[in-house]
Amino acid sequence: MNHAATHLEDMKTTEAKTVKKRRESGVKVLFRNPLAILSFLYLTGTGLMAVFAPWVAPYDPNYMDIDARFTAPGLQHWLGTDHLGRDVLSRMIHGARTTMGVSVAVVILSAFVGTSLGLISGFFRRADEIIMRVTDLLMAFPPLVGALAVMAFLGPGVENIVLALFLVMVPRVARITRGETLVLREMTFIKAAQMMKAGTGRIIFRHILPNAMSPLVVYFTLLFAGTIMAEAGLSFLGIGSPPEVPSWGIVLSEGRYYMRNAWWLTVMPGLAIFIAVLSCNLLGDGIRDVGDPRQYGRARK
Amino acid sequence: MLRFLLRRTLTIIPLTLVMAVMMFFLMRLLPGDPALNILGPEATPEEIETLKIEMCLDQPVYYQLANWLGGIVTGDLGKSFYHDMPVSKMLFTALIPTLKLTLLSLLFGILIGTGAGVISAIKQDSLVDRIIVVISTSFMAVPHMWLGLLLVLLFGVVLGWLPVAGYESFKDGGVVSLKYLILPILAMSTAEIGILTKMVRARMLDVLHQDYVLTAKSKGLPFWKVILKHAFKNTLITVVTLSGMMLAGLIGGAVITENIFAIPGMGRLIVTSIVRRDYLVVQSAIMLITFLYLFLNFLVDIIYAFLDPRVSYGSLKG
Amino acid sequence: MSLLSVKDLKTYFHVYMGTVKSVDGVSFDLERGKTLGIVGESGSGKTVSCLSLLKLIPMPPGEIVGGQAMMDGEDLLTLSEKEMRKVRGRKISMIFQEPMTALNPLYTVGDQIAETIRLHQKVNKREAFEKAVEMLDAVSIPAPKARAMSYPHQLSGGMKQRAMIALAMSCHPQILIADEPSTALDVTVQAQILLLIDEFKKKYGTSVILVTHNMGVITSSADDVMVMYVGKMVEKGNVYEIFNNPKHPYTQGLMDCILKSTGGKQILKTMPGFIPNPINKPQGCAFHPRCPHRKSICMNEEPPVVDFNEHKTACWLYA
Repeated sequence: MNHAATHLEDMKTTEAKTVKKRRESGVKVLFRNPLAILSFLYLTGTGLMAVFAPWVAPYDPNYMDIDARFTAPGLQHWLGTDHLGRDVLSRMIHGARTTMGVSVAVVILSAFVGTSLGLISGFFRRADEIIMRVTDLLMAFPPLVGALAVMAFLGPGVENIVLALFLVMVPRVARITRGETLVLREMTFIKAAQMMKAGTGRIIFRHILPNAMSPLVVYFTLLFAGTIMAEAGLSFLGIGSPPEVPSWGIVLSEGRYYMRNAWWLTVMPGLAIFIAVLSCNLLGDGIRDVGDPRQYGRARK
Repeated sequence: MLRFLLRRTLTIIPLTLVMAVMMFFLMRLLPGDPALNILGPEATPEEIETLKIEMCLDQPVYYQLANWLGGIVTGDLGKSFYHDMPVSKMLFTALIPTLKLTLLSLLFGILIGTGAGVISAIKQDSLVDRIIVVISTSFMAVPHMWLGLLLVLLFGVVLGWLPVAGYESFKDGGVVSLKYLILPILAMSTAEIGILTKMVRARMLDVLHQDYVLTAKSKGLPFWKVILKHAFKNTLITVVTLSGMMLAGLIGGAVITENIFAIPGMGRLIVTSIVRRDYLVVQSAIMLITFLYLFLNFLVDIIYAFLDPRVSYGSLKG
Repeated sequence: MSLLSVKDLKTYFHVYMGTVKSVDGVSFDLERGKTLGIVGESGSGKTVSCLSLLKLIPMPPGEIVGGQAMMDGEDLLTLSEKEMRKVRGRKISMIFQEPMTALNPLYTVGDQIAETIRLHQKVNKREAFEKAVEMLDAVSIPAPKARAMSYPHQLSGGMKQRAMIALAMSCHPQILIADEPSTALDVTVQAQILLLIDEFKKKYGTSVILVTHNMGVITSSADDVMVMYVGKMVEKGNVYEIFNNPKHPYTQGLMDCILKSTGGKQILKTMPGFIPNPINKPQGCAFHPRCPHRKSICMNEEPPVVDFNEHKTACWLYA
């Protein structure tokens, strides 16, 4: 940090003080960021659509209307139909069920297990050795290849995707939590708590976890994005969700052979994945900025 | 430096060994008879019996394990049941396209990502910076397969400039063979370019606020020299570290891209072998690609140590 | 005639929350071979004043709004970037507070000094490196040749600051700006560094601008003193004058903060209040909220500069 910067930093601290009231409600600050609002709305919208898919979708996702094959997007079929005359919009709404469902499950599972392992690892030496060796091993595989290996031996299936992606993500969550824990453990306020003979459990849940939460939540949004991509990728390769269960990856994969004359089969599902992943990333950025007072000192145009 | 290298090498070996054992047991974990799994339900009992003997399935487990581990060391990994071909030979043929694809994408990604990140940081808050930030943010979210398909649609089908799919080795096609790789490289590297640009920008901004950059300026160095000699070299270290992380994404991207563009690489071999239930090939290919990943990361660490005197002169715990 | 004459320097920062007038109309003269101490709390604009002289303010958000800095008949503030580069390192050089981060970790100390020498003198690489070694010797670094080939992380903090001085002095500049050169160092090393700067001052007739918040450092090294408070000069004069006869209530407060030995009893006084928010500075005299001699006029109108025979102060008490 150089001097001019230190000086700026001083000014920012002063500014940060004046905006303290605003910072108290992080959610409010987050929702001043229009991109974060849009992302949040898109993700919740998609999530709700997925939950209420049977009621929201205009058609049965597997109903084949052979006469209406390759209908371009229009009033009848908003996003057109595929090679079997199935309504693409309905397939994508049901596909959101698989894709979002898998992602939610993977993130919740790996967040829960990974955070626990990371906290244990950061606090207990002996457990740390074992947990770190296991994460080393799991992380030795490039992520998609690791998932591929598990899927290869388990076969296609939604639960199997969840397991495969869980095994890929959990060591990463554990690593990050452990890192945060080790940093926090050395902080004065934790030392003070320890000196006052606070129990390990109390220190972990009252002091470490709340302070580690902010970077972790950001990481979870990225994880969610990664899982959406990975699920779509696996399904696209034909070793993810089985063909009878629509997922965004499956719709994209089936459509690719007809790309020349039915562009919407390729463009639409890909766009859905793209926007969902983008939303996660933007939401993550938004959450990160809430915890970063530097945000308030940006140069004015 | 030497000690650093030695220690780094020593961590790869046990990791590979444990992985090999894990792969072995994963295959044993498959429900049902492995031979039956491979041959499918139509196989006759005689066929299954022959296969069992060929695969040493009639031998005790420790013998099979030793056989597999020995195979990894000697390179004799057995035969593919689908192709009736030594697995090692299949792997070797598939390795080159993947390696070519991954390394070229890495190179391309580093060039573009670093360049864009540095420009963005130098011109912080300008229009150029804003555009680069928007593009890199969107790049990060582009699914490999979707971009691949869109590129095929645009350059292959609509414009007809580049082949839609296929592969030619450099030996056969010379420089022209590279035209098969252009679209795959674009499809693979886009997401990585997005991430790299974002990280390089952040790192460069950080470096530009360091005291030593101010020192360099106060010496009277011209702007470009401050940037290139003092700021950029410090950023380059981050690029090297990141390229290790990028490799993970690129290898995953290669698996998908090879399947879209029908490139006979490791990714395609793994996926087709999974579909064909050619487990021996799957198991060996995953082992090899993972080893490759670890090895490339190892190279990255060496370059890192070479660039940063704090590592090579041993004051940091490397 | 003084070597450097700064008049009404104004440097503002335009940030999200408003405009920060970091330096707001500061004037001072630097005499040949003398040391000018600039004192103030953090945020008083002392560092920004110095950086402005070399045009090293990050722009944007910073902007040199007005003023003059005459040296050798030219106004530094109007020089082009290209002309400015010839001033930096050759006529004016600078050392910083944090020796830990002021040297690039990826190049050897010798290389970094040689780089400066090659920039301003017509010498080849080898000669520049030899000169760098000489400079390291001149700042009393033992085994200078070996140290020249070391990387910054292999040197201690004091060593690094010595190397920084060697770097700054390598082209024998007329002015050395030392921004809190000893603050980050151990107390024993602090004194050595200040002595070293004094030595160079005597040997080469270099003028020094010594920025600090430590009054003790000022007494030992400075000839003249300028006291700053939120971007403005509050008092300026000969070091003895300032110490024996401080006029401005802020300077008086600073003096009281120094540990004074009074008949075996040590009293440490502190000043009440905090430095104000630089965006919403108090009206009138910026110091009035903390001032014990506050009058009603202080709250409304800016104090004029009163001159007591080369000892100036900006305070309503004397107007």
